[in-house]
Amino acid sequence: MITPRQQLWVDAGVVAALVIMVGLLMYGLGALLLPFAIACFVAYVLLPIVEWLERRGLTRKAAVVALYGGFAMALAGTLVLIVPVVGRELSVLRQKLPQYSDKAQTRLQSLQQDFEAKFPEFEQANLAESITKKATDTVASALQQLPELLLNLFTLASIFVLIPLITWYLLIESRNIKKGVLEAVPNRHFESVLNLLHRVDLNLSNYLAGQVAESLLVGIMSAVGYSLIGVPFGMVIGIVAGVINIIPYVGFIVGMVVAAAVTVLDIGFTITLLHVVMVGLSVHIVDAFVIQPTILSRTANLHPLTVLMVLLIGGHLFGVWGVILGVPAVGVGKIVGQAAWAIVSRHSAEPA
Amino acid sequence: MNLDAIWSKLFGKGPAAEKTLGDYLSALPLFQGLSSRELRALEQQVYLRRYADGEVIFREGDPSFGMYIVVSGAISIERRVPDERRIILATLLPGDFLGEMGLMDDAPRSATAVAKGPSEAIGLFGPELQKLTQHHPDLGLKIFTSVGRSLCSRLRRANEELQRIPRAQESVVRGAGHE
Repeated sequence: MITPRQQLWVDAGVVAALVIMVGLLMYGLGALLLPFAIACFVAYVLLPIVEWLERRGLTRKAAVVALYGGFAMALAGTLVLIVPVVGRELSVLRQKLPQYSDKAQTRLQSLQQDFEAKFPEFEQANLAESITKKATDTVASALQQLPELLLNLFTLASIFVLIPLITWYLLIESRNIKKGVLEAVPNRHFESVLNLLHRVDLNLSNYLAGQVAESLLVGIMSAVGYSLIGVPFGMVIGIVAGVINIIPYVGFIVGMVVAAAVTVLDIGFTITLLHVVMVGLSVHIVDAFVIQPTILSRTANLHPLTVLMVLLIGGHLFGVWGVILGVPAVGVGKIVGQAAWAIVSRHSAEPA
Repeated sequence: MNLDAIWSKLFGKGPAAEKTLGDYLSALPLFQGLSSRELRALEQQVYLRRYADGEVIFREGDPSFGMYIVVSGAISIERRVPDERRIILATLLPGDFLGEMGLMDDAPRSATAVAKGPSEAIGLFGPELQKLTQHHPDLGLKIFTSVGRSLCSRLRRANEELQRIPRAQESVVRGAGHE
């Protein structure tokens, strides 16, 4: 007869084996799982809308169809509204491009003259030769990589077809999938696993809402800031910075670099450039020291200092993915750890 | 849990289930009077669990997350007494429910529930009931009222039992005095 404590060890072994198997599978399949992972994320984000539609009396399938229909209409509407605006912006840019190009060329020439005056040992002929060689090499390498590039394009296209398709099935079957997975959980752990899933779900949805709020605030601050100091396309730059801010720190950098580049090309090296840097840094300071610790720590239930540490370590170890997924992953890890510890403590208190 | 059941749940293939959760729910006295729409909403939030003979549903001292309603078989409610013996407080049959205090507070389970023979129970848990109440306030109110009524009747019975104890003690004392 197996005792509860022995049973706990057996269960821990089964869970460890499952985690290793899933880990190996993910490692083995690698990029193939990307459309599936993205679809899972998209379905997770869209699920509350489907459930809201269901509560309004629609069946699950009708709710998903309505969501897809609404999305297609919104996309078409956005294209109809945005294409003329973008077209106008592009025509302005086309008109300004020769001007920008001339300015850039003049600046480069003056830089080159300064450089040659200071370092006469560098001959212009060599410089031109090296530039030509570099350009030829680049074209040759691009031609060599063309089949690979086409394959990547095919993968990209398949992702754009696969993601909506997988998302569709996940949205329709999410409830059955969850119930199916929970049915496989032994009765002795059912309540603990169910409670764990609830807590993880709450944590992730709060984190996601926090990220959206943060991006919105960074976008608004950048747009208002750049527009106030007179940066051309300040609103657009702000929106881009807000969207990219889903990756902490990158949003403000992209916003600042683009704003600085546009300022230099349009206005030149004026005091506005200093203002751009000041706005960018102000947005970053408010984001890093006020918004992120407040929103992220609250939503991920982590101490602000832990959040900053996770962002730094995640970024250092896993790059962009570490920064994006580090905080929610640590938040989920904390919950899973607490649940596992509670089970172990409970069983340790029982007689062997 | 067999593979067919998982397959059926995940992909909608495999042998058809004999009875749906909705069928089970509509037959339970606790959910009498719910409309078909309310039953459908409730069906999405509950879990049907199957237990083998002697399998523990929950243990005394475990954290409590929700309640179970017996659908088939029987479930006994047991408590450990100081000399390590277990006493059976009640045996619950189809239609009865257990663990309802777990819906009301976060206190640990006050007793152990064990299946007597192969049994089935429907589990309704706190977070799901919360969600249900947020989205369907009328339905949430009906469920809480039903559970509250049952708790009241149990409390009343417990009070009656308590009232009987001093009388019994009194008659024991009186009897001893006569001897």
